[in-house]
Amino acid sequence: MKRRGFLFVWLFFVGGLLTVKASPLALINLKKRFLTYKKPKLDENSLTGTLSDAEMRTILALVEVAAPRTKMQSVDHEFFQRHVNNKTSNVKGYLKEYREGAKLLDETTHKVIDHRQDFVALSVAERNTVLEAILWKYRAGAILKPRVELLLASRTALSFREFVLKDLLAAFYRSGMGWALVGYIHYPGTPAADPFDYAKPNVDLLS
Amino acid sequence: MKSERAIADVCIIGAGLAGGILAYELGRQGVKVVVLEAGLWHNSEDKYEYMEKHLRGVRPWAPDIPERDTYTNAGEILYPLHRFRVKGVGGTTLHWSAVSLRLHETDFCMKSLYGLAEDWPLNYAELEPYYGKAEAALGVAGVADNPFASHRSSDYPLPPFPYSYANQIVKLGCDKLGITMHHVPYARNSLPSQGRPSCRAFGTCIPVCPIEAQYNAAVHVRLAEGTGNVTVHPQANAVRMNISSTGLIESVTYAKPDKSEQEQRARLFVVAAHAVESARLLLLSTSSRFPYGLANQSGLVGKYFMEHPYVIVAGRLKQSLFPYRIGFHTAETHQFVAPNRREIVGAFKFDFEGGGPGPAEIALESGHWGADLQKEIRETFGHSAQIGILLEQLPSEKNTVTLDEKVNDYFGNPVPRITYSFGEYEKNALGVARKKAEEILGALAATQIVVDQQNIGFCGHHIGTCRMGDNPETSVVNRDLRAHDVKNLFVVGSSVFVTGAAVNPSLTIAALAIRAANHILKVGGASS
Repeated sequence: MKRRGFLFVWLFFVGGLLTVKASPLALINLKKRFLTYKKPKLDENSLTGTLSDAEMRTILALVEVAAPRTKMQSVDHEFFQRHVNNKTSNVKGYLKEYREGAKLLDETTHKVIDHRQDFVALSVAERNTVLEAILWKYRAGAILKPRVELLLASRTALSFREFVLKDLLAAFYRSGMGWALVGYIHYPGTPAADPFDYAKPNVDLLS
Repeated sequence: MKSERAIADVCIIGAGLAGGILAYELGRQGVKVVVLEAGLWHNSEDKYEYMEKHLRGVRPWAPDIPERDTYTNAGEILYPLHRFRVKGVGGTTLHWSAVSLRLHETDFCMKSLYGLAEDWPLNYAELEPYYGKAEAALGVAGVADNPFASHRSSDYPLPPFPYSYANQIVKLGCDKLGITMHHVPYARNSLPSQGRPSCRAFGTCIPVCPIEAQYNAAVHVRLAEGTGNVTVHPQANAVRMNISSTGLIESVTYAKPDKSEQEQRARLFVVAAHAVESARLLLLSTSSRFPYGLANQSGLVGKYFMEHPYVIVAGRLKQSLFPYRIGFHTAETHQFVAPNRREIVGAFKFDFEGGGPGPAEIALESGHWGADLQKEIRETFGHSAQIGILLEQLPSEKNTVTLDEKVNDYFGNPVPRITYSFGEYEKNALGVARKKAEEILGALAATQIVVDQQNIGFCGHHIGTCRMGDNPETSVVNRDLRAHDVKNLFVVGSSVFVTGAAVNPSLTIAALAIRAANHILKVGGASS
């Protein structure tokens, strides 16, 4: 073994020994502090308001990839615009997150696709590539353990997923459009013509 | 600056289920009542707006003054108080499940039968007629098909909601194991009744029914006002009760959102502010005569706080259950709510939920988006059978609501501190219940059976803290809910329960309130 290799092994051994010797509480505390640092949080001191037209166009371009058109539903830009405006105007922190999200999409586009183009100008396939570049850790986190994502992803990417992508997906799949995907025409919020249909299979569903 | 109002016969603190019913019962008999409610009066016309908020993922009943509702936790489990309680006219029934069950007759005599906890000072037979009155008042839809229930002398006022398709599937598994499923009585109109429409399956029962097919206590508060004898003051936060030289309460001081204080005088006072705030108000009301708080000579105000721990066991079935077409479960079994050897295996009930994750929940847990996510949702949705286990919790002196002197609320008063944990009784019952639930799912050939025992949930049933009893040394109020120590003070609501049972408490709250109204009418609202 070369001298450098020996030194490395020795340092590794001593470091490990010190870690084991250290108070378990301190280690747990360190882990907690790291996770708290990485866990995305809304900035409750930031302003509320609405996105610029350009920022909104970027977000709507994201929607076309995140919640694309289905046989039953086309992408309802007006719905998402209303949702985003409502969120950014009423809940502190969301305007900042959506703005930074739009910026992140453009910056990643410049890096991985073409430095002269913005996210809105891309094809759906290219937008998917951009999202993959930002969120591969997201997939890894969901498939393995959420902590993996916390460990690997940048805080910007984590915030983007938590407060922009998840917010858009939750809005879509809580709406009638989302329920239509699983064949429901009624639920929730719109009453069924005959509420007792719920006792039978499949009767108040779309074909 | 303080101002005083005219003397009322009765002042009720809290316009929830107990306070609302009591106000109506007294008002219609000509008693002049003032009701103080900490939260807002939510207009019934606005309920669609509240539903829309919920559908957009916004909490519709968020407190009007968040700093008012601060609390702290101690003990092994951090109890999530804000997840459940609502302050407002109607109280927590503004977002309840509307399950309206009677306690079992054995629940009233746990000490005598099993050597557990304490007996109630009254028994099921004494409360039975009031259960019938409560079911009529709330308009309960049900059918007497529960073979494990105690005797009843009246029919349900409305027909039951039939089993959902999902529950019919799960019933096949129960039948194989000899577990009897039955309907769930709900304070929700299965037919138009009491001027309110029948359920139209909006599916948003918790947190809001936009058409009030589901009962909430604002219904009774409105009826009470309609008598012409009841005045309701919303956003009136009772901060202390004031004692006269004779040892009777002469007034309650309440604070408005601008922090100005007013005083309401009455001949008789009723605390109906839920198990946490009722105890807190009594503890805040110290005086030279009552240095440890009002009605607290026993030292038991705030003690024996209970909840219903709740665990879901879920499994994936091959066929779709077509869930989520109404907002509530239609079947339960009470086969285990009154076990023969309760001292060995605790009581629990099963709710047969037919849900599983909806499209949004699947989306939020998934690592996918776009077409991949859509594929995942289509494949996953609708195949989950869920069995909810609601566990009885025994009263423990360790579980308490006390004042946290280090943290003050919006009005400068110490906030409630909840100290909470489970005991062996609950843990053992959970072990048995979990096994039985897994057997039911196994009988349905379910795969991927999951028990989320790490995240035990709760039902928002705050019970105990001012328990009733015949002995002033071991209880706060007597069998008529009158305080042992203060003659013109009553406490109503689930805070007076001696034990928690393994069923939802609301119907018992209503029955006890109607019974207390009778007693208050007998004493004539007088302080003698």
